[in-house]
Amino acid sequence: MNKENNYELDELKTDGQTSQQGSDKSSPFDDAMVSVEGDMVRFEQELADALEPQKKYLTETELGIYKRGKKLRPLLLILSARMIQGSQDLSTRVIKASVSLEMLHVASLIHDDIIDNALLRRGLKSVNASRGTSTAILVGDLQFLQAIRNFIDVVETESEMGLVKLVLDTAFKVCTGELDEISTDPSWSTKKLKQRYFDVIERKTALMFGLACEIGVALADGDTSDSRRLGFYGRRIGRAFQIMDDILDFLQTNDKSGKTAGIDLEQARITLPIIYAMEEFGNDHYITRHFRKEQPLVGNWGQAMDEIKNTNALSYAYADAREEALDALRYLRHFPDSSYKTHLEKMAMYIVDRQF
Amino acid sequence: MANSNESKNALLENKINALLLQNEDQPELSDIPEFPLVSNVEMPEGHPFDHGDIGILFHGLKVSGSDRIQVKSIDKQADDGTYSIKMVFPQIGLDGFYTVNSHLSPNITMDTGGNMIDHAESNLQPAGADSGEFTPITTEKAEAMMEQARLQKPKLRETENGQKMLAVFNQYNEIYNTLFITSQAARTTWYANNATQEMSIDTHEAMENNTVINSNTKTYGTNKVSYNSNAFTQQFSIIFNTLFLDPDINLTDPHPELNPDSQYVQAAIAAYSFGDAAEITGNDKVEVTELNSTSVYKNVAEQKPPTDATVAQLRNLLDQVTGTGGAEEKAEKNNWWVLDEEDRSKAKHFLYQAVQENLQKKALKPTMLWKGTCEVSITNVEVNISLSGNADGDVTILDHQILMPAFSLDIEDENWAGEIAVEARIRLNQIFFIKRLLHDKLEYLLKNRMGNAISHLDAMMLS
Repeated sequence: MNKENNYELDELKTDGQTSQQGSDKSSPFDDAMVSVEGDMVRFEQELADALEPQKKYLTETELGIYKRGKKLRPLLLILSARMIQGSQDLSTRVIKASVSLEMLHVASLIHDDIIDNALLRRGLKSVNASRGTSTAILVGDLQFLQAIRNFIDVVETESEMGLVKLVLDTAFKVCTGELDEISTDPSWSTKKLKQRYFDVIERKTALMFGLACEIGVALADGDTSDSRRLGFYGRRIGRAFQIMDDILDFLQTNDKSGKTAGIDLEQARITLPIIYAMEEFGNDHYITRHFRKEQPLVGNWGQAMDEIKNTNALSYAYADAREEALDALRYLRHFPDSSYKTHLEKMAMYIVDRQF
Repeated sequence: MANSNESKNALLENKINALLLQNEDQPELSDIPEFPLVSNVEMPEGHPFDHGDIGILFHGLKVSGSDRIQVKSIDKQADDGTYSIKMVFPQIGLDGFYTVNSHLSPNITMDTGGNMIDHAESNLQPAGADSGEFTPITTEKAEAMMEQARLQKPKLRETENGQKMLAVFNQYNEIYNTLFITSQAARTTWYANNATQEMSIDTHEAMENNTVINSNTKTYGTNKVSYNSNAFTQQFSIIFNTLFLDPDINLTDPHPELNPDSQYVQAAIAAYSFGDAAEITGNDKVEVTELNSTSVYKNVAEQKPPTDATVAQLRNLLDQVTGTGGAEEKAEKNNWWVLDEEDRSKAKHFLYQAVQENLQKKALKPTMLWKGTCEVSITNVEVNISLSGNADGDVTILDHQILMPAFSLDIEDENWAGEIAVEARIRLNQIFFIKRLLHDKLEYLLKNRMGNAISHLDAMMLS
């Protein structure tokens, strides 16, 4: 066979196998982080300042959750601002806003873990696992409130009050997304479940990504149209990110994901790969019945995981994620070429291309 | 002792290989459905269409070497009497086919995510554009107009009506964007033979100078339409074309069901309500009450807003178009929107276009761009099994691991040509998921085959 290309399976680490070449390669996230290193240093300082008032209420583990995050939303906000301002100094407002978004995100994670009864978060014990549900609720609320308090300081002009409204609207929608997710009836048709899934991830994840981009542009005094364009970009990569997160629940180990692998299966949480698997299995299959809460699956999670992985469910979900990532690129094309634009393009594709 | 072990290993090896061979069919991995590979690209010369998206799928993936195993060691655990067997598949192969499909998708030049005018030429692929007949507005001018629009936001936010308008705009941002991305009819209507662009320039200047925005006498575009007429047409287009996007609406049904929870229905209702609000200012497609910036804001601040339109109103509007008897009378009685003959004809045209576009989309089949073979070759796939056996010789598998070394996916791609091939290769090389999927599917297959063979062993062979 005369071939021009080998599509190398490098860095695959499963069942204790070591990686091949490429393990030293930095990811597009890392590269983007480096490109705004100075801004990220300022972000860490502002974050420390924002956490100071609540420090005595947080444990080292909880502070560790902040330290270990990917800081994706702050990074998006800063890159979006840089798309407008180039290499000029960013105002403190941009940095403060990025801190607020990270705090909002952490708040939603803490509440997520309570709902899912998850034991791990970012490789650490979740707040609910270490301090119980009641404290976890309050710690989560504290992050929400401090995020908003911090964001209010960003506002300088009357016109920027609109941004506060945008942040509050988004936080509101994140909560309604969570509520709708909980109230999803597992006996619905897979078509209806799919509609609900996309509706929920829009509010739970995508809007926050879009918000980060929109606010970054707005606080860098960008045009409304640029803010809109990057909002569309952000929501699309947010959707791709969430779908990939749900796919990785089946493919990643605890070490890599920083959360409990297979938790969606154990919790009977209906995600996109699960919906596709249910379609393929049919209503009478024991895994479908588990997700429909008709007959709980007890033990043998490994067998069920293998069966789901052997369907086309992950492939179909992956195709959806990839479509979102590719579509996100459409909304960057208006912007003149810059290193920041390249970072955003690469980040969009990295979400669906990355190794795990 | 070494010889005894070797002969035991050989015996077990022969037995397992015989069990693996019992399944005569060459095992196959299930096909891997199509993944989008590259979007929004120019197709190579001679292709049936100019512009589209491409995706790749894999099929006919036959696995070889899964019927030959080498036993490396058999260890009996002294404490619990279980056995640990280490084995190796010396050579696993995967041979199959791939197809790269292309899908027609128009090159949309409209900046639907931004200012709703065409993108600057430099940011677009040249082929397949669906507008471009008119001189595009300069980027500077467009941005000045958008900046002015941005400055209106705080002013609008000062009033309850204004706040509501902004909220509605944000709420259906994505749906209206989808509308202009997917509906050719909506895009063509929006261009309106350049009327919309000319109007937006005039609006910008009128806002700047506080002069009349919607002149009673001026006309726009090559079809010379009035300001109000085109504004009405746009609103009308958004109502109907948004509604027609709803995949759950049967467009060929004269009385289709509308789902009140549908985001398309809700976005159409929002557009309907906006029209009612404009009517309160004394404006519709025929009646013109000239307004300047001051009077617009006065209206926004002081007018009592119309109540939001309802699904029943939208339903009635649709009934007037599809011709269900009595719809007009019902609209008149309720003081709803009554369509005249021109409106009905326009809406019928939208419906016709939507049906046509849906049919075209349904009829669109992927066009094969490239196809070829693909293969994977993996040496020394380790199998570690721990098991126990009872006095009857029955075997119970306690743990079962397949350890697969890294491998490459070789694709016969020398027939890939042109710029699109360059991009496709880069994208394919970056997708980790396909490789991971092949890895997991192979692992699953080998695990099942081995598990099946081992479970048929006689445990006495191990002792």
